[in-house]
Amino acid sequence: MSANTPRLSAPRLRAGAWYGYVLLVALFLMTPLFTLVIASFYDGRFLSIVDYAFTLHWYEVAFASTSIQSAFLNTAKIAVPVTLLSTVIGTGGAVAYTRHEFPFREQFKLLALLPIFFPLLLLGLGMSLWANVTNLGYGILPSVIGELVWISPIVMFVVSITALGVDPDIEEAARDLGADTVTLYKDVVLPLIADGIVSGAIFAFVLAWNNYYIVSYLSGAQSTITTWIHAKMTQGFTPTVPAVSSLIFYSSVLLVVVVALFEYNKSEGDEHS
Amino acid sequence: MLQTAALRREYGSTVAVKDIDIEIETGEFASIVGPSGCGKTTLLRMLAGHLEPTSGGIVLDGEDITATRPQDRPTSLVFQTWALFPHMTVRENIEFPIETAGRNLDRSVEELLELVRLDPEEHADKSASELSGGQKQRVALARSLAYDPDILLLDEPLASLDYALQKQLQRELADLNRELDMTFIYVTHSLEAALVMSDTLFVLDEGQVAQTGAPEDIYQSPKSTFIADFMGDANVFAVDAEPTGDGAFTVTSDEFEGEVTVEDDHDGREPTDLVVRYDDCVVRPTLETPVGVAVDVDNILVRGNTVLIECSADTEDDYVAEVPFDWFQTVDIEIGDRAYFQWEAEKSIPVPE
Repeated sequence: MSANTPRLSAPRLRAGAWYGYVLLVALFLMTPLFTLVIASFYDGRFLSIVDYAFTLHWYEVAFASTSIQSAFLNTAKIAVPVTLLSTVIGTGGAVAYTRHEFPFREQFKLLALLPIFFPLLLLGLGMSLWANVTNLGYGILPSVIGELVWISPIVMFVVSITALGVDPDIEEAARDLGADTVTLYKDVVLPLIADGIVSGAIFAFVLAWNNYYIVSYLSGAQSTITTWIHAKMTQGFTPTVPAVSSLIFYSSVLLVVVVALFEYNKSEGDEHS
Repeated sequence: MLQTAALRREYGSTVAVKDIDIEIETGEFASIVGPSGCGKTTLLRMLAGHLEPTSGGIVLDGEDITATRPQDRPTSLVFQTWALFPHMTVRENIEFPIETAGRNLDRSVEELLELVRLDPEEHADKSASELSGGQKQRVALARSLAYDPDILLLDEPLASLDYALQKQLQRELADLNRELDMTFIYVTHSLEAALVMSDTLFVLDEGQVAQTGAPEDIYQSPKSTFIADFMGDANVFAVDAEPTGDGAFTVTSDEFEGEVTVEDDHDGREPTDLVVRYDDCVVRPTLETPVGVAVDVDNILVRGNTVLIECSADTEDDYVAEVPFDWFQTVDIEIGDRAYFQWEAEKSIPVPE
């Protein structure tokens, strides 16, 4: 027997058992996620495993439904502006907090991050009252503003993590070598924190896309995917609910794949440069 | 010529730099040295424009640049961390000041790399983040030179490199200073680096200039015990001084036998300490010079061509003699011996408080 022949040794067995255990835990936790997908293809009203039959019918119904189409459209109308604006606001806050000295800097951070720690249910309620008092009303625009309050601090938090890792001397060096403010940000600061900004934007989109509490208070007559699902759950379940829910799940998976590809390309690029 | 006038910087109630007046000639290699917290980095950052003085001014060739922003100031700072742009190649790093500032030295990236002794073909298109410490240091230098500054400011740029590389780069920096006829201001706590490279030394202590001059002058005649200690390799004896009446002092001490007559080098201030450099001292079994002290030999360290003999006196004070290796072989001294630590009286350096 050659020395290189693999053998089932005790450490190997222990490792196998450990991985198996982790896999089972993961499966248990992920099962609800896949149950939804399985249910969305089930030809029947309430999911049963005994007489499972496959159909694409509920997806057809979902795609044909104008109320579902408009829910998706409304969700996009909120999520896209929220992603763009919260990325800009959050990045600005992160750069200000991490790269500059100013009076009450720590207080600024605490105040800016406060909405994250406030219960969403109450945040939504407060916004709803405020929208009424200020005559802002309810709909897409108030929803965008409401979500910005909650999501911008999260983007700031995510971008800050990257920005804190950048050597402050680098910024001074750029100044020292003649860079004006535009050049400093365009060529040095933003490229260095680009990863954080991309992560922050993806975070912002996922949170805005899946948000329920804030839109439920602020979207008014406009239904979004989450408020549509909630309405169906309370007012009468239809099997299109799992189909619509699965569609949200697919879009999140798609986003994860995009991020993975982005990361992969970047590490490839780093190796070749 | 670069001048500062009563330059001062306070952090809250702490005064980091206390009304410093210095003058540095164009083309000079000046070093600012001092222990940690003496204000040297604060001073340098004010010269670079990254830190606003609390009061006082900076004048370059007759022009007040105190309020000039760093990007408009003809100074360039080489950072301790080098601060290369990690997302750019070596070439992009060096082109950065040329493109942003338009202050072009009329040297190509290749010429600049050769100036700092890096092979352009091998390194120009590497990413800045894959260079070694020494290479990063050289690229940072090339990048600052590409800016064509009137004054190159260096903030301990060699501190994190290994000793042999430090020595080599010290020589190269001194050569560059001569070659480019550019003013270099080097901040360090490493006295050795400052001694090797500088034309002028500014020793800072607690935010003030404690002594200015050519390195060898400061080494040979320190103005205070602090300077003597800081310049290193010094045995310090507390002394009593009596004026002789003709501009000299007769110096005696509880810490050594014999007496020394020294010139008044300090405008009548009487010496409180006597400094004797390690390499002016020897250890012999008997006292053969007019001044010396009985000691126990604690340790003998051979350092290549010299030998360090560490001794302790009955007063518990420790003294060190550095003698040539050949000389050491002619005397009979071993660890544990009772012997005499001694020196020629004229090698004594009187120092006022």
